[in-house]
Amino acid sequence: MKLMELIDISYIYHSADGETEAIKGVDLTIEEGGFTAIVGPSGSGKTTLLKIMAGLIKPSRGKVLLPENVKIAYMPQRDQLFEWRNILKNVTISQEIEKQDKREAERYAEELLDKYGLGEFKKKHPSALSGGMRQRAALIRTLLSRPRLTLLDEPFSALDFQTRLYVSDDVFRILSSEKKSCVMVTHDISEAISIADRVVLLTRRPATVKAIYRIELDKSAPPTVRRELAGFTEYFKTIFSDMESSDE
Amino acid sequence: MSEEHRLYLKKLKTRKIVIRIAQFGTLIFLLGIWELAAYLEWADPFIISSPSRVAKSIASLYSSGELFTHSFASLWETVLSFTLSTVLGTVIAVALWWNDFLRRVAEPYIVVLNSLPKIALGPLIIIWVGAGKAAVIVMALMISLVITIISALQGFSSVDSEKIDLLRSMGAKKGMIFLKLVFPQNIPNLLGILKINVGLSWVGTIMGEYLVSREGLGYLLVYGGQVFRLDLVMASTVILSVLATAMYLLVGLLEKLVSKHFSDGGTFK
Repeated sequence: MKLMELIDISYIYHSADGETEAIKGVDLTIEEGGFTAIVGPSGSGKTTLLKIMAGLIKPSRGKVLLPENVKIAYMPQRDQLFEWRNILKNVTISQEIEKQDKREAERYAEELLDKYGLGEFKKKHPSALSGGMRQRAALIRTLLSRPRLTLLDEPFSALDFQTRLYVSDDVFRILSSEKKSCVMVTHDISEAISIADRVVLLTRRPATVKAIYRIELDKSAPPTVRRELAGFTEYFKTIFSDMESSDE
Repeated sequence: MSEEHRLYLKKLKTRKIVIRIAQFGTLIFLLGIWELAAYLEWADPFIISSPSRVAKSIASLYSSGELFTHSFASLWETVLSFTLSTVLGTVIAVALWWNDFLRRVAEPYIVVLNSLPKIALGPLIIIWVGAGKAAVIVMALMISLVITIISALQGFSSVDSEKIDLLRSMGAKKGMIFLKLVFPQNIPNLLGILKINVGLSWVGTIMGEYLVSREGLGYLLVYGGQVFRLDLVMASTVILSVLATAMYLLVGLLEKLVSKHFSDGGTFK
């Protein structure tokens, strides 16, 4: 089933100094159950594209088609946990805003926090958590609204390399055990191949879709394992050289 | 507890006691020199007064009941203008945060009002609201209001736009964003503003009382100066320091209570 369809999306930034064409004629379909990674050189408008998908900004041209009652959740680059709220209050904020039943929200939150090893931290404040744990809490906050589609903006970019590897395993494990469809934006090609089953390569600004790759690696293997699989390097080489050639 | 830690704690405690002794020592030393200078007439006691004269002066103010009349007058004016400027300033800052157009339009006026020495408005204030308590309060209000608006607005605007995007993606409208994000994140900033306003409100009150009043510590100061009763001037200054410090400590206490609420996981609904 199609969760989202982008048709001829363009976006132009306007400022007093002039206009910048960030995205130009992007067509993209997101299917249920898939994990799509959008990669591209930095400054290529990936985050803008994701924000358009999240409904945070309106495209200058084109349409975002969304079947009714497809709930979307957006996870920004940094965890953006609120320091004055404890973890439980942080992850249930979306339900608080929608004025949903607090008890039910907290019950589900505690279930997920327990399941993913944050149970004993639910009354703690974000500052008591490590970078990886904070990212996990941010992901649980994203999942708590039971979205059909989860949008992740460079979820590992704020972490150091080692943490990044283990957090990507973490995120992969949580997303696949909750059976979530995902779109992730990243500038790191190997990260994209290690976690997604489809990689969309964008060109330099103005961004257009340069190529889409199916990643036929073992889908059940976590990212760190996938990085060791035969074929991983080939994907990397292909996408990397395609990305380089788009520079010219 | 390790021996080393025990020694460390002991050292810490000793240091604290030494500092307290030094603080009181300095006070007693200065008062002693002052008293001695007046007693031995190193300087004219009529001009420099002396601790014992100041104490006598305070005692006579107390027995005549004037101590309370004047203290309460000033305290009331300060507390009122402090409350008004904090509430009004925050409300105006919220409005300007809410509406960017309004903010742009108001900007030059705020810059001018902020640069203007408020005492220049004295004659206008007196003519407009009359030469009474109201003039004092308006003066004190003018001094702390503009700076409250500027600091509060700056705090409101410095909220991470990614956090705002996060709440927007959850369907939050502007009011919700203010309630759940902007306001709670700005509580420490607002408490800082309170601390600054305590000082500014006292400046405004005393200044206002210099200009118009018939009671209050500012009046007492001016009166004492005019009739050359330096004991009275000194006594008023001492009372003023005590009251201003007490108010400052009270706000500090409030800050402590609120940050304790923060660390206990409280949220602001």
